[in-house]
Amino acid sequence: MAAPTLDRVALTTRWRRPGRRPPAILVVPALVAAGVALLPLLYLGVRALDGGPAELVELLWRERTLRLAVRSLGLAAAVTFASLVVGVSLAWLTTRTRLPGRRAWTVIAALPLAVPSYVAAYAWVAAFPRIPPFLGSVLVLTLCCYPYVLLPVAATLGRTDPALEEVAQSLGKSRLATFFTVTLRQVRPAAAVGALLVALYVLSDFGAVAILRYDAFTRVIYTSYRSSFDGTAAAALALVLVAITLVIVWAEGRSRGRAAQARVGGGAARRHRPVALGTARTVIGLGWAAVIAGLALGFPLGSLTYWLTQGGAAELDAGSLAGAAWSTVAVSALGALVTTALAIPVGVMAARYRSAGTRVLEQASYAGHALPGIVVALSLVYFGVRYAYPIYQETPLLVLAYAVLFLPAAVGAVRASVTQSPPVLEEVARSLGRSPARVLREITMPLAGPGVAAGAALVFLTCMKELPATLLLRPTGLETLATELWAETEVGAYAAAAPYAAMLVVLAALPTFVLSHRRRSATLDVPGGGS
Amino acid sequence: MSALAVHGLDKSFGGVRVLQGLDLTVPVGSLAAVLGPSGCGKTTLLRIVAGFEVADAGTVTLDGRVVEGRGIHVPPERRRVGVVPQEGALFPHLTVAGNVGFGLSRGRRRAERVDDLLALVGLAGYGRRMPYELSGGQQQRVALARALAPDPALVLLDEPFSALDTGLRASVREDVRTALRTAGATAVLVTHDQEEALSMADLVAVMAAARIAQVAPPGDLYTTPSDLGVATFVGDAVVLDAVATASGADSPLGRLQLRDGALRGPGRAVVRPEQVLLDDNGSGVVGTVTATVFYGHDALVRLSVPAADGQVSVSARCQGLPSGVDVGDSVGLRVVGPVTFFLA
Repeated sequence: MAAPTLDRVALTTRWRRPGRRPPAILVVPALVAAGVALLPLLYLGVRALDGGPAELVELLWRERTLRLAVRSLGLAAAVTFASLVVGVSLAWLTTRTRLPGRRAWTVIAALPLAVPSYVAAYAWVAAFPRIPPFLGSVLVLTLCCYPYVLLPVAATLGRTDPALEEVAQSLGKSRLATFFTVTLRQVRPAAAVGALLVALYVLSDFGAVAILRYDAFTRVIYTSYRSSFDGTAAAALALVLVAITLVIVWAEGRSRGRAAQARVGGGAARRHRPVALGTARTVIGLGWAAVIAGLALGFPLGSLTYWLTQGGAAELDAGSLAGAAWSTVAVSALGALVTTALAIPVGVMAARYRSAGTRVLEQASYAGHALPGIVVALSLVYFGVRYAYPIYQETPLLVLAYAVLFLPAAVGAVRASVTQSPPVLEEVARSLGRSPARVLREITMPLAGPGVAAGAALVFLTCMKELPATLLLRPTGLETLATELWAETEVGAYAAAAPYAAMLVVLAALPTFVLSHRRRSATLDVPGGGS
Repeated sequence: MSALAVHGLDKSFGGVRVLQGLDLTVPVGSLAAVLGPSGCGKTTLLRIVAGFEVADAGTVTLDGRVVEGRGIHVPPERRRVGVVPQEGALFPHLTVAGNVGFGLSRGRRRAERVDDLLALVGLAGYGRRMPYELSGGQQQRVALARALAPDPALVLLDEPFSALDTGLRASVREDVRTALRTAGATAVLVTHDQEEALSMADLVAVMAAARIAQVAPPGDLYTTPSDLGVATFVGDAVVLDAVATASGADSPLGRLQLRDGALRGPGRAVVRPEQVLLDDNGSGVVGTVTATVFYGHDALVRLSVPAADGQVSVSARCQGLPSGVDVGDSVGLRVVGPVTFFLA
């Protein structure tokens, strides 16, 4: 059905909602959410200063700290560079060329996002126990992270106006020169956003570096927490890591702002006509895509399958697998529920009541974005031991950690979906006799509902894959798929670990499939304001 | 009695005065158009009347009840004011019937009322469709039915036809006009399109510089504008320096007959292009053709005419294609009918 030409911008700006004060029913829970999000960061600072500032300086003013920083940043730089190469090349191949099976490759190239990095690390270390830690980490993390570059770059390549490149060619530039002077320049902001996400991911990753025995910050924080009862050293190192990630987040925020400006203005530009590749180039292109897919998906799945058929797996206690699967689903569902509930007031306020105050609240709820899982876990462990012993190593504290870590994703989803329902609809509903509370129930929530649910599904998925916080905070006696996999891998029992890894991949694939399917249908049928 | 009375309305946004001492009265059962250029504050006026914005000063009275001002701000849901936004803004998750019935209380007569309203806007039988299955014009008519359903004291329409194609616009306008009339509703239409305002409304309020410059029936507005600003904003106008005397005004287009014969002294005369005829008939005025623009139903001839201090530009409207008139030709001119005159 041809929708009439409705200008969404006009919908939101013309009947602009004045900066009215948000009701207390939103403010109070939003304050709670922000407090939850900031708690680990604040307590980490308090804990690191436990022995006084002098001790903190002494702890950190060592060659070891510098060496750690160099190791972590070196890994982040290598993975980021490799991800850029893989991500940009695959994005171009899948959006701009006549690569055979282009649509299938588009889906396959994004799939590694669903493979937890520690599962991939397990697959590699199980096959090659002597894999060098640094090279192994670069390989595994690149294969897990390149979609962060691929997705925004592919979106940009598909969206940019072909007229720009046509103009460049009409001005006498060759196709190659056009690619470098026009195409890459347009892609740069999107690639920068992706690169910073990769760097952030690598710095916070615990599972892969720990399994591959690469001494990055996260692994050293964990071992230092394990090996001593005095947590001050671990807390101090965690503080340094947070400082580094904060710089990255800040840089990402800046580049995001610029990316938005660089975007080509509204309206649907013409589609690009895909470039026909010659036979030789087609073979190279197909080979490249196949190698990446083989390493990122084929190898882990093959390795898993191999270990599943080995003896150790046969001795598996089906009861413990089912038990771990059930606890994974249960704590993750709880995590998704609590996180979404905390995110709704913050997201609604950020979308509807823009002011300096709401912006601070929203920023606070994004704290988890800069906090590696191991850091949040550590801080909550110390906090629990000291101030909340009744819930220490009980489900609530674990759920709290999930909320801190994944609040940014949930708030983003709520905010985006509430913004999608234009304020003019709420005003019309008011003029037809509905109170603000009923408007929220009858208009805002039904329209935002699907987007909020998708956000909850995403949080559920990430909770299931989460390792470090689950490892440190899980209730005594509770094992999830991730912790079982970790425990078996740590003692080299690769066959015994396989069923847990396989089950995790299967469970994680379900919401991933639902999410990607939803996104595809959503782009086909956007519920317009008036349409 | 007046359905809507606005007195001394003030509103500023961040130091910018959008409305300043605005007055407007709309009688029961009439359709008033608020006409003004983009950004003149029309929509802000509408939003204050609907209750979406709070006025800084002034009052809004609906059916004799103060809803805004004197420390009162009645929330939108208790004003009984229907709103038809620019894009229709149908609730995308509800059917057409669900949209129209949204403002009605659940009861046995609800379905009946929804059917009546859909018939009124010419969409009987469309109740089970979803908004995205309708064309732009149909969406706009459903939005009107939705606004009329709870039998509001006043219906506000905010540029409701601007998102429609030109061809569709005229027919939807007529349908909306008929529906409002049949429902006996009082309505305020905001628009920047003078053709829309003049052809649809019983009363046109011209808005300029944060207030209402003139309120009048469309015909009066065109023939007797209250000032030069309104005169040039509503319709095409040729403005000429002239001096009013007892026997008319002397101008570069000869002696003009004035609507108000009591005026004396120098000022400006407003001549409508259709009053300028391309024949001499003894007037002695000759102009040089500078351009001809053909519109199909009529044509405009632009001419340059000698005046006391050089040349003035004059437009003449002709039926059909002016034959034998080419750029550079000299033609005789005369003005028929009385013109409006403003003293300097």
